[in-house]
Amino acid sequence: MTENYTPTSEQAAAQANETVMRSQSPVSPEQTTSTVEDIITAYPKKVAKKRAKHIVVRDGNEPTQEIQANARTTPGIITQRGCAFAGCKGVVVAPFGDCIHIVHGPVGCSYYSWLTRRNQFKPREEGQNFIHYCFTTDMNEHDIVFGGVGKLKTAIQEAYDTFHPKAITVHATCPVGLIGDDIQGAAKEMSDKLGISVMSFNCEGYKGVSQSAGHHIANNGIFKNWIGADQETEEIPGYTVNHEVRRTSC
Amino acid sequence: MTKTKSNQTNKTNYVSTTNACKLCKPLGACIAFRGIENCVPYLHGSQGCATYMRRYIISHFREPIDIASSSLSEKHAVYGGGPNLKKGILNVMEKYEAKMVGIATTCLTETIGDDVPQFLYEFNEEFGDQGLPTLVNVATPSYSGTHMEGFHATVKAVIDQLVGKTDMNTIAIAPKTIIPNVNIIPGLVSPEDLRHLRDILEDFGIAGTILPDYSDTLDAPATDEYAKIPEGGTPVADIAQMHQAKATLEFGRVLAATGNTGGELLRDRHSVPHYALGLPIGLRECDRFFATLETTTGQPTPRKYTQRRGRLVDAYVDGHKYIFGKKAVVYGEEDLCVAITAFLAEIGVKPVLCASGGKSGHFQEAITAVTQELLREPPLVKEGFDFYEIAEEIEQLQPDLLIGTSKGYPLARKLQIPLLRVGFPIHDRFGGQRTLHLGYQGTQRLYDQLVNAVLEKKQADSPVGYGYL
Repeated sequence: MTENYTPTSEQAAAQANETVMRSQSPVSPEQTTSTVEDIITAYPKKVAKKRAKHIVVRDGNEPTQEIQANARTTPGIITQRGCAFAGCKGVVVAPFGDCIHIVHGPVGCSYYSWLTRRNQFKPREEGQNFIHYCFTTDMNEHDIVFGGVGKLKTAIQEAYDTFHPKAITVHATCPVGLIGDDIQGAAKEMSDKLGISVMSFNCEGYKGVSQSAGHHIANNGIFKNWIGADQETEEIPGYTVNHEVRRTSC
Repeated sequence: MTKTKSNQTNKTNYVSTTNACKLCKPLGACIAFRGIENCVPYLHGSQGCATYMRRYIISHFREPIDIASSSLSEKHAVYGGGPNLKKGILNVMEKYEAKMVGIATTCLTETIGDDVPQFLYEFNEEFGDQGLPTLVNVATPSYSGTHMEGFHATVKAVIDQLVGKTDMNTIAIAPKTIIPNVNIIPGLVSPEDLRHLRDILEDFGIAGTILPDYSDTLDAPATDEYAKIPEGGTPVADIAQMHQAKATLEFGRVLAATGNTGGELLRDRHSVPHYALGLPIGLRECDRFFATLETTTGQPTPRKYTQRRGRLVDAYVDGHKYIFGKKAVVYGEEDLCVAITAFLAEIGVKPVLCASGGKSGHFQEAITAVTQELLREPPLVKEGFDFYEIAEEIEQLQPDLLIGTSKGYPLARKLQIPLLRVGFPIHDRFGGQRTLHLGYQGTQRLYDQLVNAVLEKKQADSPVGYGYL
């Protein structure tokens, strides 16, 4: 390694991650273990037995620790868990009120994630606000058989023509992944055509064990495509992701 | 770009849907299954569907509803969901002691082509000795149809799979002594409506089967102990005997026009006379309903109801000066729209637009049937419409009020006109599940609300603020 070595941003991130993973917590492992035990013993015996597998004290030297909370839901058990789509569109992405979010799929998924309690947004002065809208391609039987990419592209075009948003996101529902609609390709094509960021998320509902998988899909997309995309604009005070979302390829 | 100009209205025909005016098919199935005694609705698909629909149904009914799910993952999407379906039913049996499990499919399982009847056949073969619950399945891919079609398909599936059966390998079906006099298939009405229908049957002094009846299960009294499955619902034994009734009364003019209903199945398979009626809202539709009850039961309408009818006519006269000539937009599910439009036409309010997200192909003819003798100008009727298109259409129509679900609120707010909330979903007002729409009484309630909405608007807009109207 020479003195002039400067790591790329990805390498730097990987290094930072490694450091965190290996670092010692300011709280001693014994302290943590006893706190966890306190939590567990508060439960009734039967629940405590199950719950114990859901709380794992991290051991920096054990990179493959497993946590039971990441297990699949038992079929037939009424679960509080949602799906990857709910985590991606419903939770993480929809509150970006100044973008348009298109749900590519049949009507239900967009309807149920329309203006729910998580979807709160305060527009900036003169800013755009699409939080009251619910966009979908409303796929029908024909689209399932013959593919829905054409409909999706038209929907993106219509959303752009009508509202002129700074960015559009596209969210896949179960059947989209099953029939193999290339939403990434469609998004890229429309992004190039319209000159705004059109980002797509393959957050089909059957992915992962809960909505948590959707959070990851959403965050990965946002970090990969949006955050830091605009180096020139000065940061506006407040909780903003990016002032001006520039066109990025997805 | 496939934007085209429509001949009629000169508006853009959008390919995309913005603010949909319909929900998805399995949701209707879940509500219908919830109206059967000791039944747990079960969605064969990914678990998000069950969670989303539970949350949505709760926001209207303000009542817990448990919907089980096969919780399918990528692996099952590839190899099929049969094993999970069987595991799931066994778990529901164990945890809920359900007498019936109502299995509806979702987009996922319909797209991969899971053969649910075959899975259930295998399940029966494998576990038939364990005293299985009654199993009913219905195909509800949400890419073909709306929540209403899911609801009706479920009612039909229940009739198809249960009526006349006594010897299935099940614990729930046992013959009952009371033979039903009439069957009522009311469609997706409120729990209060169902209670009202039960009262009407009781006042006529007849035993009847209402399918489904979620008046207790989706609007239950508070209890000290939490019941996993709330009491109430149409008993499976009653459903099994629906073929012995003297008649079936089925609500919904659009439904009737589809020619594919549970009531027709009872007629064709079991020779039960079938009466297709509109939802009994408004004087004329209510009169038809009560006349049919008189014909089938041989009983005269009890005085209680003739009195209510009289009071309703009186109210029509008293309130006419406030509301005549007002323009209304009606939206929501097709059959409720038709019934509300029939009511508006007879009270002198002009329905200017009837819009629905549904695409049955029979909306126009049903609206025409109820308005042609009453209205000089027929309303604009739009199928497959969303709220963005309704908003565009409204610009020229300039209505005085909106009638429909909570989803019209942004529009009402923008136009600063009253919104009369009816149907499903109502999640920005309290007591949506207790909204009475049906009968002379329901019509009276709607009429009072409508007049008051107009008066309130008049009062609010007045610079003086008159307090005597």
